[in-house]
Amino acid sequence: MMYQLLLAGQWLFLGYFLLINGAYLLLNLNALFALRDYFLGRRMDVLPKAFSDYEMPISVVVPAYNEAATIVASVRALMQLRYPEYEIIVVNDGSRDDTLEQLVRAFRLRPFPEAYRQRLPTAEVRQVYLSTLHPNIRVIDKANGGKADALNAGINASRYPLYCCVDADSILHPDSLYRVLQPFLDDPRTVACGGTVRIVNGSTVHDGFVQRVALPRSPLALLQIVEYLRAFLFGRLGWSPMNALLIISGAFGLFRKEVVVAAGGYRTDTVGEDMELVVRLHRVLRQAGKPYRIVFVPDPICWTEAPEDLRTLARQRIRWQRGLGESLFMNLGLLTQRRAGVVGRFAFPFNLVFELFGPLLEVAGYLFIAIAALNGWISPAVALAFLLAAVGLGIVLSTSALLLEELSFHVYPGFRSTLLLFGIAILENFGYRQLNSVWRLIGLVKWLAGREARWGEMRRGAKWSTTRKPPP
Amino acid sequence: MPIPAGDCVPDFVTSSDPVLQFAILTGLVSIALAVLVFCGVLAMRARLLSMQRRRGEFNALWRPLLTRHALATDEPLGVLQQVSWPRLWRAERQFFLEEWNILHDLLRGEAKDRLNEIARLLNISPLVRRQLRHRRLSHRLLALVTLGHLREHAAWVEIHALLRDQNTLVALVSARALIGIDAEAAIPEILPVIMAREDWSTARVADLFAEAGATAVSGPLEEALRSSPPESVPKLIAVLPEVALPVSERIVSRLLRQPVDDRIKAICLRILENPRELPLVREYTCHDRWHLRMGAATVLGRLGVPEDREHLMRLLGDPQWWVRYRAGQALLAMPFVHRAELAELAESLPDPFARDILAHVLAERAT
Repeated sequence: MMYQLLLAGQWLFLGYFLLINGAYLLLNLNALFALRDYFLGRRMDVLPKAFSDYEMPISVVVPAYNEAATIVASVRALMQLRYPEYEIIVVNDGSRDDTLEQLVRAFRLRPFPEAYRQRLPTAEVRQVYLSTLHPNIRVIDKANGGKADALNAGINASRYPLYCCVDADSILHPDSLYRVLQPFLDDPRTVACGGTVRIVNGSTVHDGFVQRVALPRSPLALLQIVEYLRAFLFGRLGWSPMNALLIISGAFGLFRKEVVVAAGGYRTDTVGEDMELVVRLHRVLRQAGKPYRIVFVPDPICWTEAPEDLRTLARQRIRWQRGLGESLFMNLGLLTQRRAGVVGRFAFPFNLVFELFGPLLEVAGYLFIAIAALNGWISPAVALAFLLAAVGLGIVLSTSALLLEELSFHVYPGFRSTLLLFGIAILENFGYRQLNSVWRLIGLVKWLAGREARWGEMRRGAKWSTTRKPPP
Repeated sequence: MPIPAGDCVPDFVTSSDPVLQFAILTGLVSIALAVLVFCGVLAMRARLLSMQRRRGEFNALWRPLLTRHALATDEPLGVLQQVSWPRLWRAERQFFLEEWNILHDLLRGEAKDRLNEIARLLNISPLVRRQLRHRRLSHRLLALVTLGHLREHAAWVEIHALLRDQNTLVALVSARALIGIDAEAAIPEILPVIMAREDWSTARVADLFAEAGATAVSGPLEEALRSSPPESVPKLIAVLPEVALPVSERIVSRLLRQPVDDRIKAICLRILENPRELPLVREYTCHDRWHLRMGAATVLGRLGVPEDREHLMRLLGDPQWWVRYRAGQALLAMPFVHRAELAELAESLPDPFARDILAHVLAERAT
């Protein structure tokens, strides 16, 4: 009996690791083809006039909570985006610091009698401000309601048919709006488009734009760079051609406003509001039988700071796992409805089994091997063989992400970067991925137990950022 | 295989346990793959660094040369023949074409002619015409752009054939090239393609028209709008507000009366300039579709007479924000409506939505 159990356990865990890594490798393969098609369409970028002067206007919505230290610099950087027509709407979500005062001073805001339309319910909007220096900048001052609530308020105030949600600490590329808009021009069925979020730690940022890309010194940040390439870039790019992308990062995404409003806007009862919206869009649009596309552009057009301490990172990953659980279970109908498509038949169950409940099996698998080896139920050699398989598969996945990066954007310059990233891609599988599995398991347990997840506050380093002094 | 208590550990190398063998095989194959990938990435990186180095060397030599001689517009063109131009190696050709085209788009007037003379001296044209058939798309696109800048009439037929290429980019860039060679001859050839192709966005078509200029576009566009059925010209109509081309009032009035797509009607309202159509516009203020009511409000602001104030006042209470907003802006735009009058209305109107929107547009105007 014991033997049968052990044998079954070994096959189960080996099979799981093979399945999940195999699936990701297939996604990477799909991402490779998607990249090839994408670059074919991008050939003109080396020439001037790659972009048109007649693009659709965009509302850039920036939720802000306690961002006094950086909000002015962030908005100034947004003002330098290369795009013919756009407005910036900062939503001050009941900040307890002087975020609003900083904005009022820097942009000469004054109260404006906005005929505000509450199409999406939000916490109380106290005042709308308009900049006397830059009429395309408005600030919504409202009672605290959370990020989702702030985004809904921004959508209510937006004037244009497309809105772009941007985190206050996101660092964009000057052509970010152009790039993320292209799918909407290529295919009018597009309702949402996400952009790649890269890690800015170690790079040089000046006046809100990345001037020089470099690898960070922090080992934790280095590990996250490889992880982002593997899981967030190429994983998402693999789903995109199948119209099965389940998440567009809240750090940067472009949406058709009327579609989001019709779907009810962002839910305020989840920490994964970005993912939940996208999953819901799939569900409601499929249910209604409306043709649509939700896609992803692989260009490195948004940069964000990654946590460099374990505590903040753990909190982030626990929150993400909770958000994943909430997003999937709030939209279970996508799994069972008739018109489910690839997203309902493959992407949704994939995320459910491997991303949401997968950590349970992963942690159990490692524990199983350790306990079985310690108790002499399996030999140390057998334990090592299993670890070799699990880690080996992980290394292939991590290095294949580096291959895709080299084929496409090769953002990190020089040989040294390549060697370092390879080293990290190997090391990632000796502890970091396992630690992530533990955090994700904690997140899963907390979600199942119905415990509230908190955003918390991230310790920001931003040692690499410089700005010009503002004009007197 | 689990080890019974008390027994020795079996040698895993000689073990016949399939699970164990499979695990080891998986691990070894994975590591071998990872090593292969590593080598591949290193090779790619080496190639990239080599190309970047060569590009840097090319730019250091050619960029100052091209810039200096292109900008020396006080010198006669003949001086360029005296210049000892460096040899252009095969591997550098694409670099040259990219730099040359970038400069061409940055410069104006005689500087462009000087760039073309430099290209002629370096015998670029035959090289680029051959490149139209290159297997790499990026090379073909670069060739098209170059021929457009060179105004190479000899390549007209070859480029014209690419207008209907399956690849969207190739077709668009071919159109741009033809416009560059001879805009007035190109537009009549391009208009049918614009109507036929679904993959050319309004923005790209607007770019083409802007590049060709009003003189080249107006006549053929008018003719196309007049002679083609309305259903086949939505792309032409859609672009009109962007490029501010004069279009016959008769065409606009005709389209407003025909059972065409509402989008076409909305665009016609945006460009309508004929006050004789006001009765028709007033009918649109009661249309089911809100964007047509909105369009009508804007026209009344532009062309309306005093009696149209009543229509706009009614629209201040429209259920759609955008209709109310445009009605408010239209009232403000009317020369016979005074700001003070509107400010008073903003206080006294019974409808709170109307009051709000008037206060909004008045405040906007004040900034």
